[in-house]
Amino acid sequence: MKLSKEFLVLLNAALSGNTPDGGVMDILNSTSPECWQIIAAISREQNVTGLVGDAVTNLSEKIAIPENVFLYFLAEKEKCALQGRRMAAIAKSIINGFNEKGLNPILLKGPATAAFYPKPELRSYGDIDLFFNRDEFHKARDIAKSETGFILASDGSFHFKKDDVDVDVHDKYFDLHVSEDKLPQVPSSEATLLMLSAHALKHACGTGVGIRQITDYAMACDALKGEYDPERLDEAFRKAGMTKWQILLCSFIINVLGIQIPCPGGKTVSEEPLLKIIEEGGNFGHHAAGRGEVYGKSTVKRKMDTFRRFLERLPFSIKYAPKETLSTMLSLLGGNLHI
Amino acid sequence: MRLTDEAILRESRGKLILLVFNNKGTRAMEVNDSFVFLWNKFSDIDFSVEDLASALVEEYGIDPEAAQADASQTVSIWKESSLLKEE
Repeated sequence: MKLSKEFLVLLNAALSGNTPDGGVMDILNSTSPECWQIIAAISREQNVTGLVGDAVTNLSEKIAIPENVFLYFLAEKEKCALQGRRMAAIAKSIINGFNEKGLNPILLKGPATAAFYPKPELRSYGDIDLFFNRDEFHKARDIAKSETGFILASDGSFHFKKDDVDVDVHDKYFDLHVSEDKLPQVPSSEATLLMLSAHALKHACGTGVGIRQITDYAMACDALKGEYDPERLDEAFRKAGMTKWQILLCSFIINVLGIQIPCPGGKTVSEEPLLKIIEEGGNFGHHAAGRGEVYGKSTVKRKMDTFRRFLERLPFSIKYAPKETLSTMLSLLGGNLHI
Repeated sequence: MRLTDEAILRESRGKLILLVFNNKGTRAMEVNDSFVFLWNKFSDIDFSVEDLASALVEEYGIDPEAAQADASQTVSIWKESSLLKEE
């Protein structure tokens, strides 16, 4: 589903923490009831109903919003906030538990980025991803085994449940094939930004990426301004073979989200290739044509669908991340696809 | 009986709205001042129809019989709307 300008205006308001005004209000003033329904549908598809809901419910009363849409967004915002606070409390308790045993987990992906948003509780996430360095990873696994039981994944990570929430524990910080020795030290601002960009790249080259993974990078980059060295970061992207991807990602953030962040080499390109993927499938590509049909089907069928999508995306992947794509293909040949 | 803790009250655009989040999904309903009064007074405590009626008499100065009828009706609506905790 195409991202409408009204949706982007509201998303931008939520990301900046400001209430839309001036010319932006004019756009929303002339928004038809049908268009409001579309804004709700896009927000659902991109899994940003909490964020957009916050912007919608803070709009001036002068803007006419269909009652059912307004109530939908109000409910989504509150539901998201409740869930966000619950998840944050669970994440904190897990981290405290490991800290008490002398281990130092680092949050990855969604939970790691919520703090960069003006209202962290509105950046929803369904599970918790943790990273331990190699020395601590096995100790963490032993603790999880004795306390909760755990499931070992084929990529070496393990999984357990805490208060009905899925927790995935990794010994790799970056979703990349390049040796971590060549990449920024963990934890650091450069590492956080590389991790988020690599995570978005992985999904862009696989089943699909939604706007939420892009806003994660944008919010982190904005919040960490002054805390990272742009040149060192560009160097890390170069070593990871991600420079072209990074320019595309930054171009999208600047051109579409209207958030000014440094772009490698100081130049932007057309955001169209990334926009196409985002509009095609929404959050993680869940809404792409035919994707819904494989949910609930066997793992083999889902893996086959993922593989097909990976192949369809090859022209994009080879263009924007050739090194990673080649490594992923080699992994695939080894029968080891974990998307 | 006890009110569900899977609901929250919000005031938005001049309207009082109760948002209910339970296993049946999410619902939003517009409510009035007396609903809000009772909701706030009886959240997190056990109560009976008589307790509601007494509160209505005290707050609005209405006739006890009318208050009893209103309280019974309110409880019926809360039951139908899954706003009471399962006993």
